[in-house]
Amino acid sequence: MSVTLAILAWAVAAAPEGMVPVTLPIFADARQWYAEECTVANDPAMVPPGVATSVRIHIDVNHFTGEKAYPIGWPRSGMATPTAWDWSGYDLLTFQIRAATSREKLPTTPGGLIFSMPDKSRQYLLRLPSATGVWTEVAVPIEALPNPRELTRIQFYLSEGDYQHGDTVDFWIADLTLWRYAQPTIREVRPLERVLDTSAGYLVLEVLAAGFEAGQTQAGRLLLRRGQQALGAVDLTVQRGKQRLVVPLPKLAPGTLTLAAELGGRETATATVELVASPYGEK
Amino acid sequence: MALALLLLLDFGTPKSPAAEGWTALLPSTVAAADAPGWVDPQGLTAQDNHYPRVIPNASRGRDEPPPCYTNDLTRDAIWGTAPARLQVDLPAGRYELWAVAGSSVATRGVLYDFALRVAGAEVGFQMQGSNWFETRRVQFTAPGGPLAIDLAPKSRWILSGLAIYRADDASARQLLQPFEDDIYALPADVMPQWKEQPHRDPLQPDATGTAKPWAPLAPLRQADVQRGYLVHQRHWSENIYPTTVPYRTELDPTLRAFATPGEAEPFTFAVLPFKALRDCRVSVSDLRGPGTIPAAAADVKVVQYARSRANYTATGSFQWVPDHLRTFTTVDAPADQNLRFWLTVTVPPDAAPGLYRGTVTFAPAGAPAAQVPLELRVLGFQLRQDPTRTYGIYYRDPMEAAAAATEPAAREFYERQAELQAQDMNAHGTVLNVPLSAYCSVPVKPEEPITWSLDWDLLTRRIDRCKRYGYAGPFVVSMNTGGLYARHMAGARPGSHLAGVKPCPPAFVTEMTAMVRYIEAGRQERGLPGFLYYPVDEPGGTPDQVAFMVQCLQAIRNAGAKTYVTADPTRDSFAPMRPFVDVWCTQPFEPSHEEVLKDSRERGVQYWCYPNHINGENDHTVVLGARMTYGFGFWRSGFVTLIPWIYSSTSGHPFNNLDAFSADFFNRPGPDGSVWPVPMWEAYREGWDDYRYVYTLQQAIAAARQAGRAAAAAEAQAVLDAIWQGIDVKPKYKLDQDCWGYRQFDAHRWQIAEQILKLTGAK
Repeated sequence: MSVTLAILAWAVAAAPEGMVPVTLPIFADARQWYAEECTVANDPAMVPPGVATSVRIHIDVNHFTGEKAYPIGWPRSGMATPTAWDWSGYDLLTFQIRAATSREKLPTTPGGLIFSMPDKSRQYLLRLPSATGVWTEVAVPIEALPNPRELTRIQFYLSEGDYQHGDTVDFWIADLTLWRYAQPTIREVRPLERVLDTSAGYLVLEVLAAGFEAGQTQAGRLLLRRGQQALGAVDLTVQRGKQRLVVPLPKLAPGTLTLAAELGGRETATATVELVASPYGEK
Repeated sequence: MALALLLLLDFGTPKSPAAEGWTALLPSTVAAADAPGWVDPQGLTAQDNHYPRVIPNASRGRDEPPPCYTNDLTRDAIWGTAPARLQVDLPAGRYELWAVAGSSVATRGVLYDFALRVAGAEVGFQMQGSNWFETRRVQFTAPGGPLAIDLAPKSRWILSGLAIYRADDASARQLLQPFEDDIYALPADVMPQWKEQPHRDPLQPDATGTAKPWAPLAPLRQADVQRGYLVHQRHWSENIYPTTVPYRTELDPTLRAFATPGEAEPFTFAVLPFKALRDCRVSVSDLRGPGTIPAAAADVKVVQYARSRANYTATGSFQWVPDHLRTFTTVDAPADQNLRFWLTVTVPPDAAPGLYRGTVTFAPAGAPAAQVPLELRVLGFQLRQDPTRTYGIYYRDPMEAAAAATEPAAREFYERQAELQAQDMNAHGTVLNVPLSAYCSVPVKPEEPITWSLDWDLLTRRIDRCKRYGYAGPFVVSMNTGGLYARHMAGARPGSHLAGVKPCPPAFVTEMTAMVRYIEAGRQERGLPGFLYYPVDEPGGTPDQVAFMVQCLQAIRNAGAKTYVTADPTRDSFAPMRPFVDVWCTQPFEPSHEEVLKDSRERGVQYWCYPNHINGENDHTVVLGARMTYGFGFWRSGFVTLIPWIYSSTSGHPFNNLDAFSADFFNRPGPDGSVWPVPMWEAYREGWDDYRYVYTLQQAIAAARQAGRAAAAAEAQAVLDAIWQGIDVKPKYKLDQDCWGYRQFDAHRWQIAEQILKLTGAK
């Protein structure tokens, strides 16, 4: 199967502020997980603080026992659903992961996590952290999933080609939690271009908004500043998820431009754009 | 199928079936008063090859689609190399002739290039090899009675089917449509296995198939409504799909760029019609400034949309994407779809620095024209190429087709195509560092002695051409590892990527060493540059595969030669190969910059990159990732050579990405040996230019330091360092989120150019 994959570095998340958690008990039950070329079981003895159990995936790396055409295999384990999970109402997925290995350390690419949607050509892939012996919290922004309304599978895997024959690897996964912002907020303002020349004419921004009910919109503003000097404001109508915004760029000298997103009278996200001299003189 | 058409001829062999309702026409069918046929059947050859819908590929160990989809009409054909004449009997009247031509029989060095003439009308066919079918239509007036249809070859003609019907017969196109679909889309029984993935625009993410891309801009300006279309512009590295919603800030653009003498720079704009526009023309004026840049310096193409797979061998899902850039005289623009034009302006080497202005005119028939201002700032310095970095590419060389050609016109065509492609590569920064073949045939029976030989003439000519286009080696050469393996393993083949390989007896190693010694001796005798021996492409990593690779690499080293391996050195499974590898060629930029430099310094190992994710293995839209990879990403990596796979690859019809085993990708065959590029190939050149700006500044900084201008050098170095630090280093730059934003590249390029101007005093 060939897929288009979004490969992102793993991210360590702090406890999300202003967010409401929804734990996922079905993911804590290893009996619900499938396992290919590996074993999976609950392990109440290896858990992060405050968590009752974890799911342990154990892999004996074997370069001869994969599929017939691919003897170097890809051990994999996860959960699948025939009906699809709808995670579009959430903003963040977090879980904790811990690894142990017979090797000195995990390889550069220790393994990955795939989120599958019905369109197999659009999957989302996350590289697992390479630390061993510690619990690491991983955060996945839901808007990064190509289609969070129709999630059909979550699968942890590794490629045995990244390991030596005979290695052993264990991953413990615990505390899978979905989070939703308690109230509407603009989480991030992301300029597509962080450096532009002064004659660029406009900025293209991605605004990531969360904490909205489906269909809910709210008026906000984008403030443009240079230092403490206000340069102007653009009205926004914000809704859940990622939205693109095109903002005319006023005539400015080179320097740093600050963009601040305001919702409900609060500034919740800022970003900067560096303006450099124009090759064409004044526009 | 009820066919009311006047004449339906299916050309083929006596044994191959005629399509239902069509009349079989054989090489022996001679024209008679009441029956169509050949005037002179001398020199006609019939062929037949039908492909099932699925073909097993033993080497890859899986089933695959056929090289082309055949039907009862296209599976068979008649061909010839001399002019041939068909005769048919028609009542007087106005007719349309439809013909389908192509070969499903594998050939080497064949060019189907011929004209079909009827009653003073003519259509041309040009197919470069097998599995490429085309249809043509031509209207003519028959005087009544016997009518000649002439086949006039430049090299070889071929014909599978021919239909003649009244010119006003509306049912004819419908009846012939399935044959068109088999070639240009997919057969009716295969298409349901594929699903279209609609492009979702960020400004209209929930749009359905009936949504208008201009709707978010409502209310439209009266002037635009009266004109009938919008004109807008987006940075060339950002894809424009049929349904892309323009930004309001992009309307009525001025096209702007800066460039150095000799540099080529893309400008693009798009039109979005509210109703269909026909026969649209685009012209460019002279650019006037400190001098004149003639209009001829601008090459104008239109961006052709095509169905594209999610990846090159993926099946079942496609999307309409901007696919390749093609030449045109006039082009039709469908309603409610963007149509993008791509202008490449090459600055004359002697252009004086300064700002040049001109106009691009978009002129549809029956609607007002639009004028688009164009500004080009020419900078007063020349870009310099870092001599320690090489831009190469994998390549299927038309010189091999020329060598196999039996018809002089085919040989001339492929030789001309090879030259045109070499020129195109040079214009994009590639100095013809292309893998070559040092294939020596070996008898499969071990008891038969080996007489070493290879086609030194072809290899030498290819190397000479590479030198002419700027590359003096070392050359990667593939070798006949598979043949030698079969000789020592009872005729077994190692399989694709060594899928079925087992370690070989010591005699294999001995004979491989002898083979390399023979090649090395011949190379030295002819004064050819050094070779890097490439025994296997992308070996797998099982213990058997790795053990076999170690045998090959040791055998090459035993002959005192150097090795080239396409594998990821960071994978543990390849560890046993490491002591024997001189050049690692990997898909990602891994290992890290620091590790690459350390290994190069301590062991003399080189790291090359074949970034297929922004060349052949993608959905044809990773333009931004291509620019990052070929330019700033390459600079940041520490790798010394880029050699992506591949300059051009076609399977089945070269403009149908869904047929055959894989999509067609990268550059496409234009008419008469010309090249139709893809946006990613233009991004290759822009990446090359980015790196040349960097290197030119590095040299200017060094010169300034030497001249005692420490402060100016430090300022420029600080700019360069900030750009270096601003690169979010990735093993693969593929998705837009892996890279800087579109216009950000140009901003950084300008920061660099500005420092060059300051340091050199150029304008």
